[in-house]
Amino acid sequence: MASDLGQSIVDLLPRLRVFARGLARAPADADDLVQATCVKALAAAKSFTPGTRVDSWLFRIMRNHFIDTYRKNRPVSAIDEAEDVVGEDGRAVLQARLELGEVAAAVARLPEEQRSVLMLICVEGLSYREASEVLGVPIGTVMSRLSRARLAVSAAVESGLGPAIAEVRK
Amino acid sequence: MNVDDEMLMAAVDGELDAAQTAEIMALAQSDPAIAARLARFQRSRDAVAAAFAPLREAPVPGRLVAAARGESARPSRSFAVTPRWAMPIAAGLVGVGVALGLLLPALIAPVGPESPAFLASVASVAWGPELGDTPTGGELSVPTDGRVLVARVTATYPTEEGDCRTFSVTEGQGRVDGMACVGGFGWQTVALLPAGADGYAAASAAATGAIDALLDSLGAEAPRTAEDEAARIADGWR
Repeated sequence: MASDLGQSIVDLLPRLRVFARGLARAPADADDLVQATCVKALAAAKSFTPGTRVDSWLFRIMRNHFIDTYRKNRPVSAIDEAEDVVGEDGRAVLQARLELGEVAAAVARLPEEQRSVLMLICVEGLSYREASEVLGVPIGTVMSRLSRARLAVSAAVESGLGPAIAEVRK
Repeated sequence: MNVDDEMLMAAVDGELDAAQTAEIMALAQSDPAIAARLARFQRSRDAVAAAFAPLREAPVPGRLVAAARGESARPSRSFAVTPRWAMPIAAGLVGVGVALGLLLPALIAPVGPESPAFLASVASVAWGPELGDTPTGGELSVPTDGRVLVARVTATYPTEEGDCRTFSVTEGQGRVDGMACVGGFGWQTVALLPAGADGYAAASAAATGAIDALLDSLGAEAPRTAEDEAARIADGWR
């Protein structure tokens, strides 16, 4: 059973790495997040309900772990404004731009709650309902976050970043 | 006709039923503004998907494959699996004025006679199963930095996050009190405090107080009795 689960996780590693990249942004942090997710998932194998989606279950573990770790590593007073910390966000955005282009940089600038929903639906291909289950929020919340994220990405795309986008979309 | 963004987005994302989708498409045909908004949602989806697509094709590092198979994997640096017992340390004890590192052991307060080297030695101890096998009051040898320290187990506490054991390590005049909790990687040090040997009562009391506060924050109950502890040792702290 555990080895079946292990193999499922191995098969999903490429997708886990993509979601982790959207969350953690820096490549090294993203892979550390994937590794931690694997360990947590195997330890919590009993909490997996057979017949449900392994990918959604793993995304949920990863996202919860990211939130926990992220908050732990921040001064308490900065939690609310954490997304606006200029230095760290600035580096994350720059790195995303260099490696993945302007669209990824625009994604990296979004608040975590919007990044998560955008990655799950537009990159990982989850439905609104599946994303709401992963994130533990109502579908209405998923839609409002997703729509804000999409409009922000569009605005970045359309404000003179045309060539970079064309490059990415080829 | 007024259609909100979320409705248009849902149409692009295939989240509407056939009738609703047809309605939106008909609106888009007759209203260029709506068509433009629809196209914007389609473009944003395509662009984000395309931006991250190359990552999915990238080779997966071996350490991740090993971790997925449950093979021995080193805890990673910034996103190491940190059970919730590590969080109250950050949240609750910073105000006590102790130095806080992001790595476990999370709590190191150099205030006693202990040399930094001694503290560092204890901090670098990788607990093996021996910590779990030793009953309270017993001692175990812990090799570190090319020498061997002796740790005495002082109690076992059931907490909301699993079992934690307090211990003392003594060397010369120095004594370090600490606590380790059992988790996915075995026993991990969660707190280390210089407690001083005889004559350093203040440091000792501070160490005890800090560990008590940590235990409180973990919802610790009374220490396990010898029988209770023996049963846990027998079943390997599962």
